[in-house]
Amino acid sequence: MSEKQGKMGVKTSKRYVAYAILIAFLLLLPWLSLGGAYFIHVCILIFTYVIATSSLRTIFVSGQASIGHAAFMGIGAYTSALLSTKLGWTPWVTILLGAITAMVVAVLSGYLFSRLRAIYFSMVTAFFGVAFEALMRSGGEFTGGKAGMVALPGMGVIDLPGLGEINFATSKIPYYYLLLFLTLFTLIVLYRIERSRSGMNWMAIAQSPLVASSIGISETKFRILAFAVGCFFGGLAGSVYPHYSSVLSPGSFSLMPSINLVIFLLFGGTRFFAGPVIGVIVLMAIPEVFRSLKQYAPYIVGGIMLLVTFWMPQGLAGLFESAKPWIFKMFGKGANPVRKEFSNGMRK
Amino acid sequence: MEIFTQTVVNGIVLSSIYILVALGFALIFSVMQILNFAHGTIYMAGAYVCYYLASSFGLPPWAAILISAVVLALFGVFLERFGFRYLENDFNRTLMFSLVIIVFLQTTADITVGPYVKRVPSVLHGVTTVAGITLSKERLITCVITVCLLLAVTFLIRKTALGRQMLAVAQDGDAASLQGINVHRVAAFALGLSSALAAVAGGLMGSIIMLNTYMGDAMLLRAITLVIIAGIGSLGGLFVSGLIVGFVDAVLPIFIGGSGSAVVAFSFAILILVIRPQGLFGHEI
Amino acid sequence: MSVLLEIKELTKYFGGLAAVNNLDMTIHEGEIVGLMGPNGAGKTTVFNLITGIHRPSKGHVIFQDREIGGKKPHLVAAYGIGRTFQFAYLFPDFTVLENVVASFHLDPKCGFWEGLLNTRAYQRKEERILDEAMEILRLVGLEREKDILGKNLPHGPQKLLTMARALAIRPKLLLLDEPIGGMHFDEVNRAISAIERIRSQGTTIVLVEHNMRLMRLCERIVVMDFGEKIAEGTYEDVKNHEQVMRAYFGHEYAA
Repeated sequence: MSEKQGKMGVKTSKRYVAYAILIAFLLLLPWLSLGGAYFIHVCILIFTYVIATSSLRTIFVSGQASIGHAAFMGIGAYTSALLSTKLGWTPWVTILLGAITAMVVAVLSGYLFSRLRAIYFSMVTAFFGVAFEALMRSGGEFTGGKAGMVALPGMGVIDLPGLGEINFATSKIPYYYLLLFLTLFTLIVLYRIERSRSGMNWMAIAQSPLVASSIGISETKFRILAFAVGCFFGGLAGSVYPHYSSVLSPGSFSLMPSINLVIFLLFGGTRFFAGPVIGVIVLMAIPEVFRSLKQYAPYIVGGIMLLVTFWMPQGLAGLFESAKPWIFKMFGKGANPVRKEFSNGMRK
Repeated sequence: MEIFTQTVVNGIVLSSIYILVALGFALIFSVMQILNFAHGTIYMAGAYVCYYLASSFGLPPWAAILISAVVLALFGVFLERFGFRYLENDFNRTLMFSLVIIVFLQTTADITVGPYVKRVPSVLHGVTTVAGITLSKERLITCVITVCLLLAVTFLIRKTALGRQMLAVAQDGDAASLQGINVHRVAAFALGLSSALAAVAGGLMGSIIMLNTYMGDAMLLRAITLVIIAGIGSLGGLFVSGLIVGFVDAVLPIFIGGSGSAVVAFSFAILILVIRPQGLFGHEI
Repeated sequence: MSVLLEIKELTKYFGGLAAVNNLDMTIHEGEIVGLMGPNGAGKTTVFNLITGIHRPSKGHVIFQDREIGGKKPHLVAAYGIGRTFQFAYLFPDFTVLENVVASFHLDPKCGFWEGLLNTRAYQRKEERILDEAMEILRLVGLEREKDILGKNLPHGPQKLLTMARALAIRPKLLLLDEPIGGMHFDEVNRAISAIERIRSQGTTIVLVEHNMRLMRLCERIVVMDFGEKIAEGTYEDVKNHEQVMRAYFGHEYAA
């Protein structure tokens, strides 16, 4: 008992220090001239994928394996793109609207889909994704059809009185900070929800819907909640990127991208909150590290995935957890809300 | 009248190819309880092996298809023996593994063959005239071959001992093993057979349409659509859903274009999943 | 004593078979009633009908003057009916303590936003829940096992845990489905004292069990066979009832 208390005390302050260092590092990263514009670009991609994959994990935690997450990113993306080009609204607003639209669609389809068990839910989300992509493809003039949309407005210029201006058009760096901020925001929010009662209820319905309903937890309500929250942030990730790249194509939101997200997630592990982060970073880093063999990069990725599949069922994050407890415990043990609170309680 | 007949023939061709692939997919799902997402890529691999054999070795098309089927069958057995067997039907892990297979096959195809589209030489050339209507012999022979294969497989499943073992494992794997059935061996056989069927479908399709390394994705979706509409556990229902989807794909694009008919087909699948998850013919979940 | 639960003409068909056939039963507040019958008599089905897992084909289930037949399980739980299951269903990846804490979901509804923002009020609520959860664990005698994962518990404690979980929703009516099934002697003692303590706190209990020791605790016993009520009365009445014996032991032993 006391050992745990001791660890708790040390853990908390050590943890915050580690986070502070990490965030400081991320803030300074663009100025460390590690690779110029291309490096920044990869970071932006990583941030986007981290948001998308973490939000997918939230859905998985409630026991629903969605294989159509990219479609919700697409809903966010198209909403934001259409509103900003056709109606001329500023991307700052349309991005938020994109996320909200994705969430609304999630709630509506959640009513239909959350009744389905396991595999059927996965299948229907996969089909939803494919249908969405086909729909966007056949949108003709309105959605840009097969070719997608071009010339999407960037985030514009922000005037800081007295300090000059932040111009998104001249450099990638402002986008880097925007995505960094969004990523941190997303991770904090998702983490808090998961550690709260809602998160506990999600894990309850994932383990045993029967028992959960016998103690008053409405399976439908919480499944839809998880789906809505996950798709909100998925839509967010989807809406921001096109404004950065200024183009949008339906193929980015089809089945394979959804499956890629699932790969990121399973690779990093669904059990721990840090799983998606680790999964995305590792899987994005590999093609970059082996850039000369870029053609063969998928083989290496595939090989590592094989390793993870056969020898690390908990994903890469599981490996870290068991291999280096004293360092990586600072990342937090993820989805086990009572542990922390309970340890606090025991001190009485 | 001519267009009508050709469309009907197209419908039958598409239907039978879809059924061939979907049958393999459903077989794997029934016997092994896994969703083999790699099935579409195996179909694609079958088509490319066939092309490779026909073009590099100059083999007659029918031989190429046959050998391709054998190659892919062995590959399927290999996958079960060294892969799926150890994953104990865990949904996450089998999903990952099938995705790994896709990555490997897709990358190999991209590297060796490249983006250039190819075409598998036809089994039979030329056209023929039936009742005053010109039809390509290609498509006719495809219909004939696929129908024969489907009948053969149905016979295999219903009448042979191995087939009945598969049915037993599909219903209850544990009970089957208690009866002395080697579940792993049956699974390997199912995977091998399915892969062979997919390879044949790929080879046949390859002479009708152009090959490209992403043809597997579209086919996978069609196969899953068929299985959803027919219902889990219903192999016979696949024939009906195959005809439905095949004809939708043959007819609708004429009116609303390829993407549009895709939306229709997929929305229908979603509808079925939501209203009647067990499909038109499946048993209660 | 006021009527807590009333069951009228309750019937449930599965296909052509009537699992429960025209059952009438009344439970008064504060009672402890036993529900007996050979396997397949329909006892668990009655529980399932009360808690909303099955929909009645015919008849009514009225709890505190409110018709609850056919309502969804989580609503029934919210109305104040808790239950355990014949098989020790619990949350396998949660610890014993977490299993019980999770069950406090219904406790003053903890809002989504409160949890998200981790307000003072929310933190205090959670601490109070922790204390109450520990209290329940002490009531059933599981306080020493609080950190063990549900799936690692031996069978006896698992069943005690299902009882603890049902208690966490502060039910007015507690349905116990074979609470000591599969337990060995010491565990049975723990369970019985737990049930007696629960009883003394004023909770109404309906008990399904085959074990006679537990049946002796009941003020009244209802016996079922083939979905119908075949006897009702005190333990003594029922013990020697001819039809009951026939149901359990077959015709030869009845006479």
